[in-house]
Amino acid sequence: MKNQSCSKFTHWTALVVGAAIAFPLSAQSWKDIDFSFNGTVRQDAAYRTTSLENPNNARGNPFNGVAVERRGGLPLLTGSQTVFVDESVRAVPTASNDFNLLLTRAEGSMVARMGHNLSLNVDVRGVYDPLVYQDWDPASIGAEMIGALQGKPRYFEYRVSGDDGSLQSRKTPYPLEWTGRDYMIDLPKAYIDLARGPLFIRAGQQQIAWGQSIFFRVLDVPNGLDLRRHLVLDSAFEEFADKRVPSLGIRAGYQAGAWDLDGFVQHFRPTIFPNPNTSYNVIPQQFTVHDLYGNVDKKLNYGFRASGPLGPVNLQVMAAHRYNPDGAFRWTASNVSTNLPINLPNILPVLPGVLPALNDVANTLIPGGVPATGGIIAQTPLEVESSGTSGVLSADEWFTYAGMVRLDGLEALNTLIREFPASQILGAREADDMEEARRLLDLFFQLSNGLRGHIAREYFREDVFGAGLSYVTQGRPGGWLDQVIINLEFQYTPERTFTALDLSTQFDKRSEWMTSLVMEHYHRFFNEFPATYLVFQWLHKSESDLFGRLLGGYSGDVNNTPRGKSGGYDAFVFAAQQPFPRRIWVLNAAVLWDPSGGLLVQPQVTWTPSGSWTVDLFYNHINGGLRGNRNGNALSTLEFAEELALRIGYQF
Amino acid sequence: MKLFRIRRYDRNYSRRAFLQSVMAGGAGAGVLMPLAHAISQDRELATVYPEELLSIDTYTQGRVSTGDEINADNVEHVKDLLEPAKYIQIREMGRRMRVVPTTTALERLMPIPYLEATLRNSGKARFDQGGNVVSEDGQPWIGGLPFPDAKDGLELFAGLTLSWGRHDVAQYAIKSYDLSAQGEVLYYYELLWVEMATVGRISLEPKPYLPAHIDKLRLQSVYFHAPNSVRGTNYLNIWPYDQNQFPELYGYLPQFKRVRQFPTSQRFEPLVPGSSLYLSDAWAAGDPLHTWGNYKVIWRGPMLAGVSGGWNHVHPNWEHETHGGPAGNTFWNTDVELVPEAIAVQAEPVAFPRAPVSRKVVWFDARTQLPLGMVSYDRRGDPYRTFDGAYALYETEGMSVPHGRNSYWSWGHVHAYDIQTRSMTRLEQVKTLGGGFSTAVDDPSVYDRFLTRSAMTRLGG
Repeated sequence: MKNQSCSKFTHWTALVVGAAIAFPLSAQSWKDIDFSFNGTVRQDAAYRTTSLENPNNARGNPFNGVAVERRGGLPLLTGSQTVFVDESVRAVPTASNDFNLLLTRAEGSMVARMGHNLSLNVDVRGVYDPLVYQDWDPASIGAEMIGALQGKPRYFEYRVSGDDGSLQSRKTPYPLEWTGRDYMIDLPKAYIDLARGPLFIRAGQQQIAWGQSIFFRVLDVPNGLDLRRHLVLDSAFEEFADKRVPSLGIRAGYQAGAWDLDGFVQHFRPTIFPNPNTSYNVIPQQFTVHDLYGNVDKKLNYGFRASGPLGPVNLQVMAAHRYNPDGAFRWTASNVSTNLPINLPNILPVLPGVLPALNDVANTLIPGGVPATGGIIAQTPLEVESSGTSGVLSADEWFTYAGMVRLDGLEALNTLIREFPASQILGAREADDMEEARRLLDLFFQLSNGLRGHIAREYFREDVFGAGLSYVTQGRPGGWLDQVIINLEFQYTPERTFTALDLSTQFDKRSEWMTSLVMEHYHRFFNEFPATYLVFQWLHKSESDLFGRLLGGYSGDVNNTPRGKSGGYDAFVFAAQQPFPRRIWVLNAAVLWDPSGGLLVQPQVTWTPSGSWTVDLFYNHINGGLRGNRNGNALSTLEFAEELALRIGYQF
Repeated sequence: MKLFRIRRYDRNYSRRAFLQSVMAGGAGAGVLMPLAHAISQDRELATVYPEELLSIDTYTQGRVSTGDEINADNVEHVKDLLEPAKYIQIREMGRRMRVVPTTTALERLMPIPYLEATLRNSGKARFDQGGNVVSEDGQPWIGGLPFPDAKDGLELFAGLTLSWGRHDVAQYAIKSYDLSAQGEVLYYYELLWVEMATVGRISLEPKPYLPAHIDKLRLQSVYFHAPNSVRGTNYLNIWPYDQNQFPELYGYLPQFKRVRQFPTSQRFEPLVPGSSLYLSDAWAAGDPLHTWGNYKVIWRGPMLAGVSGGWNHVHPNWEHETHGGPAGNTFWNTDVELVPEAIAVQAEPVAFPRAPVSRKVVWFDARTQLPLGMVSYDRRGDPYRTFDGAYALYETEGMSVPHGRNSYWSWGHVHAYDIQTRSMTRLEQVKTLGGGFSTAVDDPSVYDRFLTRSAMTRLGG
């Protein structure tokens, strides 16, 4: 019954919207309705300026074409001693893309107003990508994996598990969105506004944003982000304008004197990550994701906020009962029954020369691989992908990627073995240390010639509480301390569910604090130029980083399990906006500094030569290696995306 | 036999009177008798000003007559009646203006409720220790012009700052055109400007104060309706009554999808691309009274200005015709009349140490204390930008826009000209924009529709 709550809600929302439309239409003639239409066409391009390909994609894997020594062993028998030595080479040509992004987008907007108190607002957004990229084409190199998203990259399709649990079988489980490999059409807004005095109700497809912080989402909890188009790398001064996931809902606002009351009930929709092997993919493609959104796609989020003056400050308080849109990941059984191929590990120095021939003979004698192993592996989070192109091929690769995604490679292996006992039938045993783990991993990679990992993405309800204080300073006119807007925002979430560092099915639940300090100020440096808009922001999170990853997974690499990060996560933003006279030219600069060694610098120039045309040129410089371990800061994750971005827009 | 009419007061009499007034520091308006006295009696201006100040024919000794068009050929005859920039626009840029009779009935020059409040409350205003205008009991001002017989520039600016549009609530549907020096319309905006008095209310209950907002002067918002790139952008200014403080500024920017507070001390920033209009420019008094200072009356005299013909009733949406400039579209068609007495007041931006302007001069109509024009000067002291507009009683030829028992009075169009770049911003008040945003007056529902943060969210979409 609970799962029907959202469909009832959706029906009810539709009823409200329908009634709101029908009533005035019955009461008035069409000529009493004010219609207005306008639209925008925009070409977006992001030109790559480094040779770094996205390591999360098959064609950007740093192990492509690199000979890696594998030293397999049997920890149960020989501990960390090497028994089998060979060399693996990932036979995937690394791409050399010119563009990260090339999008043509069109947006149309329609507003129909029926008097002062009722309006219908609909936006339609269409995006087309000509796919000029050197794409991953697994069929052409013999790679075979399960999952629609693991094939040729699909840039806009969002797929989740079907009702029967079938992998990636359900496309776009969203109303008001239509997608294909190279296009998407959706309705960012389609709602009815009803107003009566201080009461305001918005019913329909909508986005909701809260809080004063820009980019740091301390109080901005209602909606997830749609990261399919340009990840989070659009103009910083646009924040998440093109990212917030719209959803059906009802929002009500009430102005009680100087206090603004705001609440919503909204269909839960998750953050959408880019698909495997697309330009901005952030989940290594060696993982196959079972998105279990279908289990919660009938759920609702609720939130309430009050803001108003309290003496010399403005106060806002909020609470939300929501599903965390980011979800959390865990190992899950692959249900892929592919036998281990008959690959004889190299056990004698004399064998390397004759090993391929021996393997061929063995495969001929026993076609279909090692009997019965497929059924066992299907009960583990592993999938045999023996082409050597899309799975993990070595312990080095395993630990390298574990560090990149801020997981603990050793414990992830042990948890896999512990929580999926079928793996022990194949001889897997928990490793005491990294060396033992390397032997075991290399052995299995030698035997399989490539294993993929299956993870499930689940969504958990949480209660989020927040508060914010806003204060405006008064100082000497024109001085640095005059008219500084200071905002302090807090978020507390008890028992938030995180992805465990070992990808355990038990997840990691812990309470998290989040704090941001925002200071904004206009300062005139020049008489001839408008004032410069300056922003300083500080973010502190007690448990996770900017992208919601637990800090315990920080600083792992190919040779080390993660050392973690103590003292919480901090990030700072410095941003400035300098309009030229008449605002035809605007220079922007935004710097996101992770003091643990990451830096994102985005200089931007915006040119508005006329009311119809707008040109934006900006550069994303990302450095994740300022100091310390590259995996010891959040921004190294995006290092591959250094680019020059150009947007040309025309509106009508 | 030809009869000559002997004029009792010739042109030099007026000049002497104005000069004496300026030298005396800007004493009250009126030539033959104090304007305020006349207003309190019969509201007719003929007793206040000599005939030569009430008729362009008389003033120019027939060189320019009512009904004539002032253009490059005859502008020299009225040069001393024009602001310098307007003179240059006519002489060099093809601007033309039609002369209409001087309006002598005050009730056609400002809203009648405001005029009545001015009469009712005359003599009750004073400055308190903080420099704010208060009524006899020390409470905020109760409506109308606080100093109808203004003695100096500060009193003139105080009245203008207290009430911009002279209505308790005004909602202006505006079309804005930004033109290049070549006359190309580069930017076009549709916006809705809403201002609501929280004190000094004269028409709407509760009056004279909104009890919950007695510490404020006004709520004012601007909503951008078109084009698509700025659609939904809206700002809300909450003006404290204390004119030593800056307003609070809240903004809804579509990219942020929420209302955020912005610093407000910098008021010389264009709000949208291409615009040369600043918050500071609103009604020539867009900043709190005491953020400017050194108010000084620097000139008095007659002036040609558009105080009555600003409504284009012929167009169903009140839109105005244009002419002049390189492409024939730089200037609004404008009716002007001889304003018998204008007062030029200079002020300096004392609270803006790096403002792009070093001073401004605003010409007030002495009869109504409404701004007729403004010129600002850059930091070098060179003329920078100039403004002029046209007002109107929206009532003519059997047509009218009702406002209670009366007809609507308001502004009709404005020129904002950048002298240094020769770019022009033209504004006009229209009946309606697309999407149902229309001009309205004294509609109390605007509070919930435009002047709260909840409303801002709704407008932003």
